[in-house]
Amino acid sequence: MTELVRVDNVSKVFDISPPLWHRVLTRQPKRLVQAVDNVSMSIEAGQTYALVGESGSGKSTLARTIVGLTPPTSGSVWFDGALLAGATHKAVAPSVRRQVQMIFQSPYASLNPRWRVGDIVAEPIRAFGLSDRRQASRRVDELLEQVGLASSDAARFPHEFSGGQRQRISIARALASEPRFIVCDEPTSALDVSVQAQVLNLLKQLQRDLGLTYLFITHDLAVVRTMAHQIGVMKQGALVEAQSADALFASPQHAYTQMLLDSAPIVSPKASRSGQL
Amino acid sequence: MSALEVRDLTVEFPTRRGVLRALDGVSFDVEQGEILGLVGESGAGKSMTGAALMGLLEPPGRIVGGSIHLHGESVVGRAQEFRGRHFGMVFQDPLTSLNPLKTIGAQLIETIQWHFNLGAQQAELRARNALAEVGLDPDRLNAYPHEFSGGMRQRVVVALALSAEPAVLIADEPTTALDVSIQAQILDLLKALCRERNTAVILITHDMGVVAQTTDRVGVMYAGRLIEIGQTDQIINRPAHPYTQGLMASTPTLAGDVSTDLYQIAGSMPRLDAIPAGCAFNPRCTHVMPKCRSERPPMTGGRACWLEATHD
Amino acid sequence: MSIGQRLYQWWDSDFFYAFRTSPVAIVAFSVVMLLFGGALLAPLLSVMDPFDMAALNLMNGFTPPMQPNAFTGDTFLLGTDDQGRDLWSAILHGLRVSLFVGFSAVGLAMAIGISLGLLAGYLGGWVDALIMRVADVQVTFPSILIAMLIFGIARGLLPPEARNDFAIWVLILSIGLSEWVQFARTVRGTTMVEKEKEYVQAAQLLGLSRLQIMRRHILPNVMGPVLVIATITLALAIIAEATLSFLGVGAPPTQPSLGTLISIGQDFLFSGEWWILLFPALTLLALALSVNLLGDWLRDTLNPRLQ
Repeated sequence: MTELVRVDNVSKVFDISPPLWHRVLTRQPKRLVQAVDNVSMSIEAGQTYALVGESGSGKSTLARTIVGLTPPTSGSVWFDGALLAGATHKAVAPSVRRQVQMIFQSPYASLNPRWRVGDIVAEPIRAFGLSDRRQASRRVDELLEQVGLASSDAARFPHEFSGGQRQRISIARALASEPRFIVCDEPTSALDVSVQAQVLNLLKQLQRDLGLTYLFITHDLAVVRTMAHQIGVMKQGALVEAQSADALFASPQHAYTQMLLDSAPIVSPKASRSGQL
Repeated sequence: MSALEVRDLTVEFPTRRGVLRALDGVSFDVEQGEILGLVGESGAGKSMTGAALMGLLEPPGRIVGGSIHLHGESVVGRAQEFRGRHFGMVFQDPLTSLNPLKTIGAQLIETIQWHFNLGAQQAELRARNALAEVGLDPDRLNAYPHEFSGGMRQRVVVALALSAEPAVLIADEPTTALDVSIQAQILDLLKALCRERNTAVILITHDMGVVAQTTDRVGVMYAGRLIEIGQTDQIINRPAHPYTQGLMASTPTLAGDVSTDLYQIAGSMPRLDAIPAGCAFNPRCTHVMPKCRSERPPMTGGRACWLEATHD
Repeated sequence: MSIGQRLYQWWDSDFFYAFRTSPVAIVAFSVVMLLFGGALLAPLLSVMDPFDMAALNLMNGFTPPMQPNAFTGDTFLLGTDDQGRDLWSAILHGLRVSLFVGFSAVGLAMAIGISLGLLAGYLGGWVDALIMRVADVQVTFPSILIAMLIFGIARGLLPPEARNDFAIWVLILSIGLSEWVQFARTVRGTTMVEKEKEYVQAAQLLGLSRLQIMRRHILPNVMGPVLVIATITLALAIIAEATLSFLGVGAPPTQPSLGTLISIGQDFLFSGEWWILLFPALTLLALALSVNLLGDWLRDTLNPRLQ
């Protein structure tokens, strides 16, 4: 097992105070929110690390910090030995950035409604200068087929697709820059059960085929069970428990984890037997 | 006699590209004090069923066939009389059901006085009781909706919906916007209150976990049709319709593991303008027979399917 | 896809269906197209060049519509003004000036408003505060006042002999500068909504610059509301131009716009030559009203929340 991503003492504090003049006039102090509190973790190559927690636990902020969408207040994130995100404004090398991609929660907001699917999927290829125009269009066709769409879909617009198909387009876009690490932020929580199964299976398939490493953000423990090798549980910005999936489900160490497990609505265990249809 | 009897409920939306049939011959009963779950994926018609019962169909949608009877009295066309008094409703987002400019007390008292001929003091007493019943501090009558957390707001909505003592409560995804720990509390509360008051409940949800935890019986919807209905335990453990079987099998469970894929149903639910002839599920069904493509299966023995019933 | 299929798709689109079934939109659109056509083909449709002083016959002055002139016996469709200029031709040419000024001014206002709105909405912070405060200050003045101010400054800066040549451009500049606020505010609002969407984050992950994201991702998504405002602003700009010209600070008499014609006409209203005022005024009314109705219809059609 080799470590691909290392998160070192990452904290993120948001300043939600009113504007300066307002603060001075009303003599209010600054208001700060600690969204992520000194989190350290290590993600193994080729595995899925799931971050679990309720809304407001800071899991999405941590994910955005790891990919570099928002800089950490302190701490740093390393990808294969290279800096991926840090508090100091050191530029991240494009060669590193190219290897890290993200899949978002909303199948509607994550695709630009004015762009054709082909252009959406081709954007990372263009942005990183990965191939010329003709090769790019062939690559787009390839990517669309890889995620279970047709190459003819490249000419259509996002609104012509269902939620599940849009999530496939998102996945194709994420794969376009040939990444090794993909952060999936609740990628199926807006989808129906049968569509969710299709998308989760696709993600697993891609992991097997391409050796991808995932950071999987979700609030759904049942989804975690089928996706994750390692699990981190977040509560109020802090990582309260981190274990291998089997260990965590067998013997949760933290009371909060236990509470999450207890309150997860459990479809009767007999249902899993009918899984072998 | 059942509290609520729905027979062959059919709802259509005339559009310029033709008439869309959003509900097609939906029939079910709900007993007093019973919780019936309606499950299905988005667009299956479960919320549409709730809206049709409440008389809240968005125009140009309208009921074109079938009947709805509450204790033997026909409801169709008279929804306004029944709404609130006989039919209560809890929506997904508590913020849309509460007036942000009024205290929750004012809203509760207003609703109570609207339905019952009560003086101000008596109405306030009832409002305080209603809050206590949903587990909130009665002294918070003077608080505004924004002063509550999401879970507490949903409790207020439940109190508001039940304050008129409706015969039927329709809860449309009441816990979808809430965290799992809060979700369990609200569902338990809903269940306890309705048992106590003998209210008939229709719980609309996409979440099999919620269904398993809360309901007595479940109806499964697909493409505007009810395709299977039965006891919750039976639907979850021994589903009889191939769609329900697939749905159950593709639901991730805590008993799963990383090395195996989830069961998946190929394809997706048809859009309303492209529902296939015969059984609406036939293009995705692994047991499809020629008959499935031409004739729509009737609801017999709790499921609408041409397959020979298998007994286990 | 063949052209026929594309045409059919367009004819069958929801947008065109909404148009086909709205009598107001059809009538307004037809009137606008008629007036545009008249303006474009003005040199072909007019019986004389109203700007060519040599072609004017003073004897033809004050000829009423559809009646032969008492001295020359010439008949004019809409009559003539005091200098014997055929009103039909003058209106067609005036329409040209009015529409040219209107479109150019809206174009300028759009360019300024969209750029500033995108910057304010996307960058936020002090850039946003600065741009929006300037906009706030500007809307407290009536736009016609701002236009007159800019007009005055420009005239002061230009040498007298160049004033007439530049009058039209000064007019465009003054109206354009007084109408950008509406664009900026709308674009800023839409930008603030769009920039929080995940497709923008996906673009940020690729290391695109802020300018690239604004131009390639956000700009196409703010154009819907901009189109609606542009149509409504076009009507405002045409009226503003007419007002300025009427006040004598707009289009010069050598290049009369509809406003200039109305201004000339009002001198003769009470002496019985009503047609000199009436026809240019009706044309302006028809133009401004149709463009406005079209704008309202567009807004209702493109914004489902209002339906």
